Amino acid sequence: MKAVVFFEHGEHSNLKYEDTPLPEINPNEVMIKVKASACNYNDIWARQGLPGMEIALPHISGSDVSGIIEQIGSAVTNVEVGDEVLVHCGISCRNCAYCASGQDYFCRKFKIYGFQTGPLDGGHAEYAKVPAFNVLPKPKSLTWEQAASLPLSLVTAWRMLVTRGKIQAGDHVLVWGAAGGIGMMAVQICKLFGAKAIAVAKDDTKLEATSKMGASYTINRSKQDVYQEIKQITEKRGVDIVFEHVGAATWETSVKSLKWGGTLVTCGATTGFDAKTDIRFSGTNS
Amino acid sequence: MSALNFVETGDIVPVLSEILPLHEAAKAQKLIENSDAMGKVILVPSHS
Repeated sequence: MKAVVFFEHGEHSNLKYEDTPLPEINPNEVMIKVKASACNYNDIWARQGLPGMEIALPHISGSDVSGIIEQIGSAVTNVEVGDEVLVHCGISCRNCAYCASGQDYFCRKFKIYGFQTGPLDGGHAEYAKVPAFNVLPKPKSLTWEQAASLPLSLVTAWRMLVTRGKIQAGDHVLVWGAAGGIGMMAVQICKLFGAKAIAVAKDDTKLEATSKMGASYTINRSKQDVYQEIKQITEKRGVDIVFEHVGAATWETSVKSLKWGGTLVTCGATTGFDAKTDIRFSGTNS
Repeated sequence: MSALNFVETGDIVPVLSEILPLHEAAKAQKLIENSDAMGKVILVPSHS
């Protein structure tokens, strides 16, 4: 099959489109004929290499997949060949206390498919294998491309804002990178819960797109001071929730922008992992 | 994935920025790295 593979970490030129062996499934897995797969920032981290994290080489990235079940393992009973599915990319042991209580993200064997799996075990390929437990029926109203766009971004944004952030109607939510894949999900979740998304993006075209998705306020970070705008919008109170995924470049502003007792939820940290925190604010603005 | 229920109802909609052939994965990564995407970047294998 054709796949996008890299054999060592480095630049974009390390990504090779070439023939690789078809995945072989075990009794609890299924093989999917990939119709579409999404790109996420973890694809970039995997290619570049991350200090403190081992990426199995050679590597096929791709955490989000939609497609048709091509083959099922001998123990699989929940899907059949020909089923149209999408992949939930959180892979866990399914046996520990965390998994049994629905908190599989804390499973010590938790892995993100297409990022921490491998070698040669991701969705940027013509075929992909995953545990049968990780496939869900594709909503019929969605195209293959739409279905592939959802899992990682939607699950992450939902977990951050709903499960961990306890978003409430009326909350002000600062959403960094609001026009990106995860940001667009965050803005829509805010609208769904009656919260007020304050969308931050780098230009007005992106901000118009976030407004169409339901953002209540917009801040152009290229022209406006985000912290000053937050103070004005919230009448100096600060936001109830900060939706962080940018990291080092935005962290200090995120902490400062919280109301007293506010909540900062974070993932990704695409601009860097070493962020400065004024501990005085962490005691009040959190 | 209870969140998917809200996709079924249309309360949460997918937002696609670009749909590219699988072999253009490098271009897809550059779009994301440069914050040039509005929504998700999708790769499609040639057999689709």
